[in-house]
Amino acid sequence: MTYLRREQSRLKRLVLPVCLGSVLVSSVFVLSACQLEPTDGSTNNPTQSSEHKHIIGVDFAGSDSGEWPPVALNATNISPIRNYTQGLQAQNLASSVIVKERFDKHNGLRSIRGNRYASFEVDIVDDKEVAGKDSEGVYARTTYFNYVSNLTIDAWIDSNDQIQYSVEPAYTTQPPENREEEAQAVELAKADLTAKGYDVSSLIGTAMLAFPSTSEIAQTGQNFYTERILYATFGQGNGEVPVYTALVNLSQNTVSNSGEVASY
Amino acid sequence: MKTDMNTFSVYFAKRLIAATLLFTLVVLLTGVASAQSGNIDWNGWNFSYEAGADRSGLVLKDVAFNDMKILGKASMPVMRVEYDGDVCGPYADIMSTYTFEPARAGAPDSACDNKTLCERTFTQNGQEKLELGLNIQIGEYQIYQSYYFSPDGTMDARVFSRGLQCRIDHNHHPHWIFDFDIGEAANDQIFKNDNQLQTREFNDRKGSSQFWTIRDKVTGDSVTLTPSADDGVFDDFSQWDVAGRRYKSSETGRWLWGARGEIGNLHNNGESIDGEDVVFWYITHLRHLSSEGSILWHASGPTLTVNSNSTTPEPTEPTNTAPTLNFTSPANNASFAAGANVNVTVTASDAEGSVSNVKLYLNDQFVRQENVLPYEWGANDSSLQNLAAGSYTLKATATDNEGLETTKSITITVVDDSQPTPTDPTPPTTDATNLLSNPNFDSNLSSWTSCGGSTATTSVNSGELLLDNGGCVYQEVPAIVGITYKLSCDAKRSGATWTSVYLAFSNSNFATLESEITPVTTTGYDTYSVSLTAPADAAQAVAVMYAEDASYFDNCALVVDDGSTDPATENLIRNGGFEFGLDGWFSCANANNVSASNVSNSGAQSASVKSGGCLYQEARAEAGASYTLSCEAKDSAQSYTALSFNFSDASYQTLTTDTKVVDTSEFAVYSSTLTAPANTRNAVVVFYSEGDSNFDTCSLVKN
Repeated sequence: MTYLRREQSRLKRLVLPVCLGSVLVSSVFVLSACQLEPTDGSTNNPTQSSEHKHIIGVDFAGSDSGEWPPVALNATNISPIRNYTQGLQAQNLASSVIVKERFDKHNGLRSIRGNRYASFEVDIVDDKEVAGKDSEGVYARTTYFNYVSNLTIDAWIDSNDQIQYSVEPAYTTQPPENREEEAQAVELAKADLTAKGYDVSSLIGTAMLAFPSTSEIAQTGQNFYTERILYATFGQGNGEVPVYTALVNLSQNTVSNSGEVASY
Repeated sequence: MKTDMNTFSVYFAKRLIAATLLFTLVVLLTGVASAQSGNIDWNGWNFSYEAGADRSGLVLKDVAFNDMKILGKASMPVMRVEYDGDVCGPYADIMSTYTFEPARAGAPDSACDNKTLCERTFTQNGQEKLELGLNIQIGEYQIYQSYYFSPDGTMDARVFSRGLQCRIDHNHHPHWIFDFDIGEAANDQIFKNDNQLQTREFNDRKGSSQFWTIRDKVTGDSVTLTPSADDGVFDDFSQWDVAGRRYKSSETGRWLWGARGEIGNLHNNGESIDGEDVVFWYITHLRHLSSEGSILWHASGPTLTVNSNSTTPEPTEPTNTAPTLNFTSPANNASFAAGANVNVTVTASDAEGSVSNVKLYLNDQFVRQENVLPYEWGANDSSLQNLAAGSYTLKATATDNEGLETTKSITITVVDDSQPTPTDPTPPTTDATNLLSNPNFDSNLSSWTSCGGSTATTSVNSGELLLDNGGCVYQEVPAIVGITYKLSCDAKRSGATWTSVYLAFSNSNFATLESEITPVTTTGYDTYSVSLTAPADAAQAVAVMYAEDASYFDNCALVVDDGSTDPATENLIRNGGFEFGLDGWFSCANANNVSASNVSNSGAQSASVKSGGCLYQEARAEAGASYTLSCEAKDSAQSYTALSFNFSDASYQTLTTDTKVVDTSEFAVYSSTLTAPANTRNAVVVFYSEGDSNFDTCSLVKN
């Protein structure tokens, strides 16, 4: 069953057992995801949490007035401070731009990332990580995702100032979505929904990386989809439940399961 | 072997990765996100912070309270979310820079309106507090990840979330990582409550009244971590509340395990954590019922309390503290017209004694000392008179009667009259006034700020700037939106890794808006320049020089660029006559098959390319502009030899190519004119020969 069909059947379901792992013992991964035995040998069994207080009155729980960001309870004399440090800012700025350029120009990376790819941010590793006794000597890293081969490419600069990289299939790990991917997913979903007669023109679109459900993991044993799938929504914004959703496959540039949000 | 053009392209594709490729739908992403970072020194707390580092939200580094270090790093790499019934999700909310979202305007207090990073102080129950928080949006979720600091040594880590991705009850499971370095990185211990030492890496769950203590084994200094009221209880999806691990650099960064990663199954090798560098994971389990709607903020997170073992004795007499000092005028970042006389006023006071004197420095040059109020400088100080255009640092140092000092600095900018001031709405027409101070490094590093790492070399020798091993300097000047600036420097390098000249624009919060870079490629001095237009919200231009090999810089200039300094006839090719060997040119095949040759048509040398050798050079190009490449070339062996002229995009994918086959045994001119297509970033000139060829007198000009 393709992931699209799995997803379609998943969304049509109203209720599924919280964890199928206890009965689907054939899947090692399900045991990992839903196991009831702690790994340290203790006998405490996790249970579904029902504890739920939301004590508004505690110091930092925020109010229910909708302010963003939340304001601490009974806060007075609120004053903004401006404390950006130019030197640090410029250093990070210079370093990340320069390092990104090096990554982008690297022939090996250019080959492995292919022609359709996503590129992600550069991180400059802090001094402790570089100098620590357990350090791997990495001082900068970035990530690419190849949409054709569905590969996650982790690249870094080692202690010899050489660019190294590792390649993982998408079902093993994927980076979180970046802004361009979110925009692309929203555009594709909008076109699909519009073609189906839904008016999303006045709604705000969002998209985020989608993950397999518990039942899908029971079938595949994989924590990530095999392709680059984003879950797109269209709503009024400000956190309200979206009106329309769609699954967008950026590897294939296709849309599935688009339509109104189900009422459960 | 005679090679047709198809084979020729494949050859290049393998070596230069700039050859023609089909299906080039390249999703080019900027990749360099603008992080916000800085340092805080507030009521005993001292730390640096960076938003989005390692996709870990708001990251605190080197946190100390009253000079006692407690944390190497605090971060939040993931908030896992599970919906009841497997109907929606799950999700892994990872707070990378791409998720940052300015807070909405219109809150009752506007301190954080439209800001991604909220920094504010407030008073609560009579106590002043400092708040640092990051606004994030992931899907329909709104998240505020924050830290609150109190002068009494408590630090509250909180994450707030609200919104509904689906109309389903769900649980949030934020994961904090606290890399404790109490006093120093080593010698830390973790106790359950205050007495149950954890000797090995562990996973655990909190009871009704448990807390954890992280203590330095040598000094006894400690931090207590206490759960807050809404930290919830574990469930099937997130089975642990805490985990103790021995520090490893690879285990404190990005979260790679998606929605299903379980800390209980990660990084646990049973290693000793008794007297080691320890890392403490803290996970909360926050229930969100869909019936509660989308507006209510849900918050959870622990409180850290610093306990210094070296208890401070009750002072029998007041402890002397350093004097306070502030600039009254001019304001920081104030601008003056060239030739202005600057008047400086500061205030200084001392709580326990008196202020003995206040010294003023201009660009680290002593101006004068004031011993009594008012602390003013100006009319009688020649160094503050008739200031030339440039950026200046004013530094004041106040000394009290017991010798304690406080220093404060501000920056002012002097702009030439023909230059617009930062508030001048009228763009200039032509002005080549150098906006940089000390552009020739004749005054050492005055006006330049080092941005290199601790092992970098940054020095000035005989008026030349030397950078090596990651050395970096920068200078900021006010910028005007819509104006194009050109940064140029004479530069040369000795190695083959990376040396560059870099121009960026940042906003008033010093977040990078746009940037452009040009690599330094020659071992002899050449002029490297880069032009960029100040985008909306630009507040300053940042000129940066950086080098990983021993590299020299001199004669830098940042000017308003009206194009007049970039005539159409300028040769964009460096060392096109090969009079400096192969300086500026790069091999794209076997380097043994390219060399500088004494066979030349003009000058003393040419480039020899033979037996499959390949040379190339890139130059920045502008989409829509026409360029002409011209070279003199010959192939003595009459095998396949070609001059290729390409345009490539920012990901170095070839957009268009024109190839001229060199079929003369004597030098002849080969030229090609192309218009740079959309998305062009570079023009690429390539020599390739399977015979025995020479190339000379190359030029690339914008028509």
